[in-house]
Amino acid sequence: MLEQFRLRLSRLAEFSMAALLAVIFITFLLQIFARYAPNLAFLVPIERFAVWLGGVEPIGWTVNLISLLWVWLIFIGCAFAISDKDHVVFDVFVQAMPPRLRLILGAVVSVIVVSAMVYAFLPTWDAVFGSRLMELKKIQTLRVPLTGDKIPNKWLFAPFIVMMLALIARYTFSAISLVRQVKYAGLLDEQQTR
Amino acid sequence: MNVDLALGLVTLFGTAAIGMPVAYAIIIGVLVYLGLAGQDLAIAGETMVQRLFDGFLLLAVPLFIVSANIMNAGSISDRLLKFCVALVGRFRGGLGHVNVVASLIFSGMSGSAVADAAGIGKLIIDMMIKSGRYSPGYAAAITAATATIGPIIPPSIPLVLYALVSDTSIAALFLGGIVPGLIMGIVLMSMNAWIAHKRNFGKEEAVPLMQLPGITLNAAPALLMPVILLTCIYSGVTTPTEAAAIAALYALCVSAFLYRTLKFKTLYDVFVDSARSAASVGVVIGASMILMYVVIQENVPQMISDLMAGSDVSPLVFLIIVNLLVLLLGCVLDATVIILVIVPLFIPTCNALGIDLVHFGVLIVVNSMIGLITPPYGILLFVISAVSQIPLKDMIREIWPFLGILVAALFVMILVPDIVLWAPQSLGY
Repeated sequence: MLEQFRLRLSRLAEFSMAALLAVIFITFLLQIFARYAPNLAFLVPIERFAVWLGGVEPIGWTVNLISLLWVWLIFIGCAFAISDKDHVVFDVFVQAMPPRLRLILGAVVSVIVVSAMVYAFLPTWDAVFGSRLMELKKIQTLRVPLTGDKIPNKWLFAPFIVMMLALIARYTFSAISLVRQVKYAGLLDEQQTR
Repeated sequence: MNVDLALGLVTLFGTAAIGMPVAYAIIIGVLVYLGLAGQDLAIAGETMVQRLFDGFLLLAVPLFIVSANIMNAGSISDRLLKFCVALVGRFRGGLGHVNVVASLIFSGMSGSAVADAAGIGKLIIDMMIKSGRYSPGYAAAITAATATIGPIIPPSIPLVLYALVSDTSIAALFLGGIVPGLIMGIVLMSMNAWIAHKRNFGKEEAVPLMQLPGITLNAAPALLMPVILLTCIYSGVTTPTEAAAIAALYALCVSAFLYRTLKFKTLYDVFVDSARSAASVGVVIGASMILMYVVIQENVPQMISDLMAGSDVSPLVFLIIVNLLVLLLGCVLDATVIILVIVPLFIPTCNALGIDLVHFGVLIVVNSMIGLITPPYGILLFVISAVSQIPLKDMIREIWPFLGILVAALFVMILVPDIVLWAPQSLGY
């Protein structure tokens, strides 16, 4: 049940990440196109189309939109789609250890991640949603494409909160399962010695 | 250095050593520092998001990943290989030379050594083993060695990262990589020729010269890609980041419309894979940036600079010391981590000693790419071993001569800055 739910969730996350990346890619192309369209108008033989091309203006909102989506892509990815083996991990020492110790260290890592995220959660939540961000004036105003409505800054920082929550949940589960495996491995050892 | 920072760093290295993903280890190390120093814990998340949002240049990273993955998914790599076989396959140790030339050309399309190794590298290993003249270990070792050229010749993800932390022109860095990349190709080919001669590898059947124009034409769209990319950047038509988008579009069009090898399902997989690697690189970049924030707040780079200036080190000695350090770290650390975390510590010293930051950057990237093939921790060795099923120890046994000659080439680049600086300077950077 739970396993299936996790699988679905990671499929959904994969789809969202691919979609985010595709939107980033297309927005880039749009930005370049908009800058050069008027210069290209003379190449187009159809008059109405040429006139339209000549009237295209450079777009200002693309840079901010792309950066916003990039931030979401990274943190949503880390929250739901990227497992430990996809991450940059320094595992020379760990690989050289006996399997049981490896499981124990895995559990220790999980507990540390969970405690650190819990420790930092409230202050971070408060900073993002309680408008206690420190360098607010440095952030450019985000706007919705086309309509121009202002996007509150909390939506730029929200994916970090999402990642914290997801990491707490994920590493809690992995800690529990690793501790069980350690116990199981211990039982096996005992049986063998008998 | 004060106690808070020291304990933060101990946490960082301690947790990373027991297998925590490096990005999380950095975040947790920074949290420990902030907590001990009595600062707001929210600084970690806030700075991370803020820096990623501001680092627009970084967006070249996912786009370069997309274009390399599209190149690998389509039949572009096959056509390139045919071209290289026709060109240099006729000599003794021919497929070894093909390996080098294919990497040189492919490096003009992809910015990542791992993409080189996993894509075109796997194809060529199969070819070398099938020919029966090369041991699997040798095939894998030379593939790993040539893949290091990938990020030296533009485009290059590591150079983008370096540009970000050092505030250097990405266009100048890309130009600076061209000659060193070619030199690496030449020294690897010489080493291959020497070993082929010594072990008396058989020759391949030469492809008739008459067929060369046809095969070249077939590979031409792929060969054009680096030209398009560089033209976009240096004519000023697009920014380097936008050029990355154009490159991805070009790769997409070539494989979808010209070669007709790209299906929608493959394209979806390419985007999922690229997004996955972009996010796992992105989080390391973001985490490194909060670490930099802390390290700069504690004035560490300036302290290193003062120390060096006080002890009267000559620029050359400094370069050699830093490169030895990076070479050693490269045995155990990832190139991304070295460039983002270690290198910024030395930038103020470079400025104080009058070392050109373009020269320094290309040296560091060449060096950390060599680190990708140094045992015990070399990501290229792992990737190639995983995709080709060749045991790591067979590969490591054959890697030493290539490793040695690449380090020698690096040393020459340290001594003669003009190797790096000639191209950017002659174009006015």
